Amino acid sequence: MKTKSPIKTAAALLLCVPFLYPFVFALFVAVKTPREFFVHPAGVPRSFTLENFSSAWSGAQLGRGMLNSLIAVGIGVVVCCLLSMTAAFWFHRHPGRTARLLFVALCSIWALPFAIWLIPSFVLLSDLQLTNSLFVLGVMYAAVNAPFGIYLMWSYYKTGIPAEVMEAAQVDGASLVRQFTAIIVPLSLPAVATVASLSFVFMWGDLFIAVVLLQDPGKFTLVASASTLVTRLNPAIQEVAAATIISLLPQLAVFLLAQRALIRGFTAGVGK
Amino acid sequence: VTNDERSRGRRIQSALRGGGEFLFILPAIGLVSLLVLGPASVALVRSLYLWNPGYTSTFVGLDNFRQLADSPIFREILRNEGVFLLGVPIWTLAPLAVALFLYERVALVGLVRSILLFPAVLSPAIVGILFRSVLAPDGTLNSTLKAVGLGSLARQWIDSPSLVKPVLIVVLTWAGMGVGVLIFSAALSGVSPELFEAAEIDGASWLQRFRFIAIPALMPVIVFYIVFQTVSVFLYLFGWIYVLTQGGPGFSSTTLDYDTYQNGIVYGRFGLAAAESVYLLIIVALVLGAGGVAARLLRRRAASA
Repeated sequence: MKTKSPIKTAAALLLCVPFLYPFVFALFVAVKTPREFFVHPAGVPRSFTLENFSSAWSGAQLGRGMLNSLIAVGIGVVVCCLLSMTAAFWFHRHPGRTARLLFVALCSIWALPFAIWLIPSFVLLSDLQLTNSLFVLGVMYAAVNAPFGIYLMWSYYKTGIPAEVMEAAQVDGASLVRQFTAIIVPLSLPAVATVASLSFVFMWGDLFIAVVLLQDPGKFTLVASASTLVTRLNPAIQEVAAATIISLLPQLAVFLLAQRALIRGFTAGVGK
Repeated sequence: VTNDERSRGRRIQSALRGGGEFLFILPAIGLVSLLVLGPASVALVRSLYLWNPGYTSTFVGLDNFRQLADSPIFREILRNEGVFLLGVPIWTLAPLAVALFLYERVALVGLVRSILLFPAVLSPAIVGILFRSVLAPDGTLNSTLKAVGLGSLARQWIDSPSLVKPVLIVVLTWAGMGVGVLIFSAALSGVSPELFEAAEIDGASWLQRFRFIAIPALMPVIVFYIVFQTVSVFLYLFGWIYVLTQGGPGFSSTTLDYDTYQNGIVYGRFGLAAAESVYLLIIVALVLGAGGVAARLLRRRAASA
């Protein structure tokens, strides 16, 4: 190992500044009193108030948005993980040509523009009066994320689960369901964490599907609620900053908790 | 129980098992077909109609496609996409350079990569809201510039047709940096460190090592990343545009996906929206096709070298 260079390290830390600055800045803007903000919009706050947070919380209905997001994303993540695990198990057991084709077809929906299926989906779902439903939104999230989840789980089964273990289970006469629940699921928890955290990032951050499938503001997800702040004519900058900080907290929590799992997902199939 | 009966029992059992096994894949296939593939094929068909959901729709052939092709707005949108594509080299080279920089003799690399990655896990829409309040005419960037006496540098960052696209490219460089650095770092960790050390001992400058060692060694990943970034221009800009610019000023930052949403959901021109999304699909397919060809050429060259 070569020695670390203090100059290069300092430069690397300097590089981090623009990536942290917008968040620190938003925090500064949000905690200032309106009077200080009027005089000194930039700079370190000398006053402190939580008023902007409370007005953002009620003004953009962030509390309800947070709850709605939790419902839709919770359903989405659970269903996505279940779909990914079971389907990947099937593909793991079927290495043949037909299964391979099916696998490629399923994965290729990743390249479909959202717009091409989302708008007809909206039309079909409104015919069935299934729009404005957080459950439907969650299932939709799961379907969209399933192909990538299946791919991740499948590549994990390939390398992470020894063939001998599966063979031993088969010799013992364990049923498929038993093989799945007793061997596959416990052994693939790291990959499940990756699928869960990556799909959380996508689902929690989604705006497109939410604004198409939800018209009732009472059903808006957090991101959809927060975005109503800027489409207003004169957004109050301090309130917007406070709303941004509040909206970022769940994602910050997941980032801190699941960073390793996320990194495994982002770099799936690269290098090493 | 005879042997024959026993083997028949076993056969029935295994057939049942085969049928049961199908249940593992059925939910995934079912939901994806129902919610994604099915509706996408509906769009393909309905792009040929004056589609009025709930009322009778008339078949109009390629009229929707023609109407779009003749529309100056649609052409402006295509030009916008072209300008956004100019971001691809920046979005690729910047994280590549940073990954290479972090590769050698930097302490706290993990922390730095984490900080760069953080914006990538956030909602584009939420970050877009943040940037909107920074970049608005009376936003914090301009007021900071004025406060420190650089008021002459204040601009209409996202409210001027000529600046909005370059500003968006910068914002997207910022947002995508972390994932790029992560991917290129992972790829670099597969390159033998001796290669870099030998070059350094031979007196190769940083730029030379970048150009003659890193880029060739990482070429497959770079091609993959370029294709991914190019496709992303067409697939993933909706959230940014929706909160940052609403496609404006005028149509100067409207993308195909945003305009499809506008046509379909906001204005109820469903047939036109379907045709527009088919154009979008064709473009993405062409990009992926070109990427596939590039990857194959690269493999062939690597095999023959």
